[in-house]
Amino acid sequence: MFATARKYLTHPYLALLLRLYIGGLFIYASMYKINYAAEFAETIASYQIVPYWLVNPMAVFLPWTELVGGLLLFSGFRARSAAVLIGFLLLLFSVAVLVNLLRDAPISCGCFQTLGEKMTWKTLARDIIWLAMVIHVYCFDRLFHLEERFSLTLKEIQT
Amino acid sequence: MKEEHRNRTPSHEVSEPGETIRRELDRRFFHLNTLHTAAKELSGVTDFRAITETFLLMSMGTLGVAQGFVLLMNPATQKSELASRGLDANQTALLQESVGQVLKQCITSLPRNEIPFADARVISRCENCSYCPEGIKILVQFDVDREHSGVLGLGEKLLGGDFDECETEFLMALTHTHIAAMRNAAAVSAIRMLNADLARSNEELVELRRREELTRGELDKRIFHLKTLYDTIRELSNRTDATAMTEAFLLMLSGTFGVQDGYVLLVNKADSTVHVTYRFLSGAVPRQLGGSDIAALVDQVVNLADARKLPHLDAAHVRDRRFLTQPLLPTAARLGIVFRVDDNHLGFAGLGEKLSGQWYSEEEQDLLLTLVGNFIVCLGNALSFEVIRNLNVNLEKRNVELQKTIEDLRASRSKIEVLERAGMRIRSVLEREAQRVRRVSAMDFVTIVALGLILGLVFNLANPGGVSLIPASWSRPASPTVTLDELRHKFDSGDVILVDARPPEFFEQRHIRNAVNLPLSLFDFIYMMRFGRMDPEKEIVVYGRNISRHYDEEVAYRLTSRGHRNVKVFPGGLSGWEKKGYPTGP
Repeated sequence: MFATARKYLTHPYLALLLRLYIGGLFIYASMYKINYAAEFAETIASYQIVPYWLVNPMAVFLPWTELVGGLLLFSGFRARSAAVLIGFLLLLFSVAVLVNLLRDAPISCGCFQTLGEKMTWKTLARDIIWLAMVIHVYCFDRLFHLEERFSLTLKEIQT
Repeated sequence: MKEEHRNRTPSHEVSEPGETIRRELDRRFFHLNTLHTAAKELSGVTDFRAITETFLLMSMGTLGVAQGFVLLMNPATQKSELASRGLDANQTALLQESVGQVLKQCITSLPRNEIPFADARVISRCENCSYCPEGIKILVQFDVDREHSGVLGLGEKLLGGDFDECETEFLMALTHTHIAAMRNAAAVSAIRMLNADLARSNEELVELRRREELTRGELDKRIFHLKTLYDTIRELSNRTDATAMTEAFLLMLSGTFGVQDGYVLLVNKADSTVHVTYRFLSGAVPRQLGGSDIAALVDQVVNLADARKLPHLDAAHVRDRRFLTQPLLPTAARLGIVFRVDDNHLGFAGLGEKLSGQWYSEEEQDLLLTLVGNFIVCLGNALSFEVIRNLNVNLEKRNVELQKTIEDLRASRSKIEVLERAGMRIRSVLEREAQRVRRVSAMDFVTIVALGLILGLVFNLANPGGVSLIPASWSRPASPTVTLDELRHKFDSGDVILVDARPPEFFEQRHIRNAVNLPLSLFDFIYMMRFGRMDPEKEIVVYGRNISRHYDEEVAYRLTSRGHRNVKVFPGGLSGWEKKGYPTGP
């Protein structure tokens, strides 16, 4: 039972699905932020964590980093590095959410758009789930990587 | 002679000295004459019996004896021969039965080697002789040679009286004459025997010479055959080509047997081919064979060899006239030989009539068989040599191919080594790359961050709705500020308008009592509603900032831009106000 559950939970196809999901999620999340950098800057500022002189640069830089990371994760090119990066971002977001939840700050999440849902503990739980998904991807994902062609070529040479 | 002796006897009675001497001389003359006569008569006689008879008669006649005998004996074989006169049958039988005693008493009494040859002696006067016939007065023993001895016995003289010395001397002389005659006879007999042996030996010699001649002829033939065999072997052994060997062999057969026409067929059973070698001195033209004829000829030769159950390297005569004269053969032959070299190579040799017109003798047929046997051996060697030569040619070709293959393999090996090194290099690169792919590197993060930074900057520059990367407050003169105490004083006096620049959510959560919310997002709308008709000289204190935003600076700047000349900023904000416990409100 436990072995079967472990087998399915650690299956590479599950990791592939999670990888595509997280990658697509970050691509989607970055689209609005890229187009509306000023609004995203306000969202960052609402968290009251980033120094004021760093808010705008982060609003310009962070969406593109999310986009690049999401694309890499989705395509499977340097997926583990992208997973680590996205995991780091999710950890950062979770800490920020946790801090503001503890502050009882009346702000929205701003994860996908400025006028989004109100930040709650569910938001933190969702970010933690996503973080777990990224860890799963990091540990068990090995299918449909663009870099797999090197491994395939190596196997062909060895045979 | 007896008459003469009788005539002289009466004068002996005259007792006159002269007459006595004359008589004695006459008697000696008579004795000598008798000896002469005996020697003359016995000289031509070769028969022992006749000599003995003559000796006995002359002894008896000369001495006037009525009884006498001569017993010849062989001491080794104890054979005897008796001649007697005046003895009856009983006496003769007694003598013949007494040979052993005679030998014992007369002859063997002395050692034989002490008895001189040609000797005689008076051994008895026979007064007490036990085996002599009665009446025998004197015995003379004589030895002719080792094989012939004898005893002469004489009876009483007719005139009476004993044998005197003269008579004894005469008897001894006569005995010596007898011995000489016996010896002569023995010599003559030996010579005759030798002549006979010589004649027989001559005949044998002639026979031997005749046989020698025959043997020499046979030997000459054998030598000729052996020389022919030797020449054949020497001639054939130097050749390695089957065709040339066959031609040389046929030429040798023609010369050896003196034949006009001859041919040799070499049959290859595997290829069903026939190679014909012929030598026709008679001017005959060989028959031409077609394809079916060749096949039929091959079958016939093979059947011929199979019928004789010929093993490898063997041959057999063929005397069947129907086969020898059949139309498939090159010409009619008188004698044929079929031979088999191995399973596939057979042959047939046919010889025509000899130039001498004679038929082949048995020796010639045997020689022909032997020659063909040698030819088969040489032919087998030639075929083997040809096979070996072909194998060598193939081997050389294969060696060349092998050499080329080895060179190719060597080149391929070096190429493979290069490829293997390249493969190892590629493999190590790929393995390193694979490890690098699986490994999370700092360079990836740097790359992603740099990419995001560059793309963000470029997009922000190109985007009309882009944001300024440098805070706007840094490029403007700072607004005048008030301290907490000053603000409290003004708050208490009511001469100041407090503006909360934070977003409405924060304002609604908590703010300084009586403050007016003027967030940047709703600045124009709220300003128009609440500050549009306000005195520009009215003092306005703006507060509301956090680590991420200086809302107060921005709102103060905008109010100043709208013409308000007494706008100040309270940097302490709500938190500073609250620390003093000053009144706040929701």
